[in-house]
Amino acid sequence: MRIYETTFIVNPQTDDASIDRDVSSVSNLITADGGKIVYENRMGTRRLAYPIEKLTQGYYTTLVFESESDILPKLERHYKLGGTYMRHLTIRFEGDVSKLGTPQEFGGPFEDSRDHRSRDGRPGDRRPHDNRPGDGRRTEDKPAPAAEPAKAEAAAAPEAKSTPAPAETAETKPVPTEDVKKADDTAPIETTAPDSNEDDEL
Amino acid sequence: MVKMRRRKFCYFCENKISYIDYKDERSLRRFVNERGKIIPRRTSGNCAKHQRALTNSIKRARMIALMAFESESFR
Repeated sequence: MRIYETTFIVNPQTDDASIDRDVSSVSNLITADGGKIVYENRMGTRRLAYPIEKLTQGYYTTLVFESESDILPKLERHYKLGGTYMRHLTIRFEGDVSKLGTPQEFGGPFEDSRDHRSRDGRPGDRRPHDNRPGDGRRTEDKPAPAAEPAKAEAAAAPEAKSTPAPAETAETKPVPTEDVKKADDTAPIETTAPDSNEDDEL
Repeated sequence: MVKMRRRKFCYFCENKISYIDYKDERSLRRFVNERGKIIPRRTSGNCAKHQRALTNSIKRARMIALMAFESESFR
């Protein structure tokens, strides 16, 4: 039995019932074959980085499950039949199962919660500039999200690291110009520890 | 010309992060420039192992439309 992770995107404009049906059809397929679903994460409606089939938003769902490997061809076939699934990705789960659903769920460092709201017709991201690559400077000015990590249904991000993270990454991020300028006033990198500067002999 | 900055440390090693999730697009975005291109290791300061994992994650994120393959710069 191996642990897999599958993420798929469905059209968010259909009604709730059909979305639930799409999601449960996948999970039913897994359980019917003797698999066990370890974790389900409905990431909700998010803006896509590029339009897929003319749509600009998608409803994301992630399932982490444990199953025999013969589920994979069946899963792939299920995704491909019909036009319901815009995108899908199935991989072996590489993270830490015990960390699922906790603030450290994303091995990733960094941020504040993404706070994906439940589907109510609005885009999942509150801020319009989200999902735009390279917009790193915006990621540093959020004190607020530290207060709302618990909101996300399952996908909270590490709040403990949200404060030191911006300060550090602001420094380490070499990326152009405007980003660096903004980050310059933060504390110096810790690696340049002034241990050698303390001359007692003076 | 950017010389190899020896001072720079690997963000992931520093924070003892072993798993870089492709779904965590907000975090991954730090390692990508304005055009959406992945930042080279000599600039980002990552160690080889984490840079490889990071690249993999970014590519997966692109496949699943959480990140763009390329985007307009802000000029």
